[in-house]
Amino acid sequence: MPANSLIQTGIPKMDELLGGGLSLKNPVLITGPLGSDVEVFGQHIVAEASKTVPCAYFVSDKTPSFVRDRLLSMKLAFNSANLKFIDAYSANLGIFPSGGSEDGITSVKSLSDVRGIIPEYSEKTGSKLIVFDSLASSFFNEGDKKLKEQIRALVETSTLSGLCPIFLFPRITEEDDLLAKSLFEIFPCIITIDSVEENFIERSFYTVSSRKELHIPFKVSSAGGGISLYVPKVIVTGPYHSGKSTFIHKISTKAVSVDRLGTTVALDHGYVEYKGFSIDLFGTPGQEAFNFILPILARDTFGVILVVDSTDRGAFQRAREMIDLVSGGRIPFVVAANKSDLEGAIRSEEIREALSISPSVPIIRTIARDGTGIFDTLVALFDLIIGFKNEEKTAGGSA
Amino acid sequence: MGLEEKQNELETVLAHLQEFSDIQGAAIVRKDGLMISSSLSPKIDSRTIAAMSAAIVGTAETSAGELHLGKFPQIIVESEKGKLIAIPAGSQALLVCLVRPTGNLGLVLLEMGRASEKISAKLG
Repeated sequence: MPANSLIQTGIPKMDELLGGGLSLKNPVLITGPLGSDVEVFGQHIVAEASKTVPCAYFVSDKTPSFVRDRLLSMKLAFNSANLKFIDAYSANLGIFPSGGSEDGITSVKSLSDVRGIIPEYSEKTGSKLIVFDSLASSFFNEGDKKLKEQIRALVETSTLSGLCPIFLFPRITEEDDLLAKSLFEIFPCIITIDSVEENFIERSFYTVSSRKELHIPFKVSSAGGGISLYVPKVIVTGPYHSGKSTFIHKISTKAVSVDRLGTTVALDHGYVEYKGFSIDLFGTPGQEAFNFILPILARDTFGVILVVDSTDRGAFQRAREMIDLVSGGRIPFVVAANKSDLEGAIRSEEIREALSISPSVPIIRTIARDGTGIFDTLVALFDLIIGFKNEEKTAGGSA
Repeated sequence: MGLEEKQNELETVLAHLQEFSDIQGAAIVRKDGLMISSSLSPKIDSRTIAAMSAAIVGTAETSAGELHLGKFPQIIVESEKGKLIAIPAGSQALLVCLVRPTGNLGLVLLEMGRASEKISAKLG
């Protein structure tokens, strides 16, 4: 990697929001209410970072083997030679790990001990990153004021020793909330995690302090791989024979269709677990006879992909009608200009005009049959849903 | 947390249904096709079942409406190796059960009705 000071988190979208990755200049605090996957973020980051640099993982309220097991159970790939532990948990409980530092575990007794060993530790191991898991623990019970200063000192010692520090802080009590707020001045980068309940489905979001307005929806993927970008429902609609079902089957990890005589008569359903995305897709029929089912399928959707046949000028009117029926002008949508390889396919701008849609709606040229452009369509829709604009991305990169 | 508690209560309702040997699995799905809670076997793709159950009920409701047949209490899909039964559970959700082919339908429907009331009380 040419940018040797940046460490990739591997968490979808996060490196982009961090301006390329983690750095010494950017100590990170990750905080959220108890049970909000704060630890998973730390584990995802250390797993990814271990692929390129030596890393240290400090544990205060769990054993190193617990963390290792978590990485394995989440199917997070990591380089175990690059992942060493600093264990303050065992000593605190009076258990001393038998292997000593030989199996990659260094034992310490207290927070101040950690600070004492960090300079030598980093020199010996060449570590570039340290995750502190975690702050909300009875291990630290020396009063908030003092704790804050200890954390400040720990951040300084870490960065001076060439270790990029990541602090995990799952908040349990109201005191924790206050402490977290007071820590904001120590950390230039704060990642907050929150969840809300929407119609009986829990939705979680993370926010990076440099781009506070962007709430990135995520979940810990059940298919493995740690944090993935999560959209519970996306509708794929478009006129008869535009290629909706092909689109869904091509992009989905698994998909089923209710089709008879070659056309969808009820719906297609598929889900995508790919490149950090976890998205459920619902495909509608295209024929007018099935208009009644469109609003049923479109209920509570987060985004719409409008698939049009780029060669079929006659169908654009119908496409426009369908997008109105499904999104009602309120839900973000992108256009997949499908069959773009066929003779007679018209240009994107002509399609925009024919559909009379605004310049802000992305049009992506696709060939659903061989998969060309279909993943780009999903990425464009996701950016639209979270309100992420590309021109801001380039501006942020140069800052 | 509120949601976790709700999930636990819904799981209890599903677990109770599974105590009946005629019921092989049960799930609570949102009427728009998303899964809320499931005790179906992990071999079954529950996300797909949620979407399909919602489509079956949605299209059947519309058909019945168009035919002026009024409301219907349940949908039964009879297949060679079992039945899929879906009933409304409150205004936003459906209760779906997978039932053995020889299952006692009267008893199953009675229990599903009771479960549906419990779910309705929790989800509204």
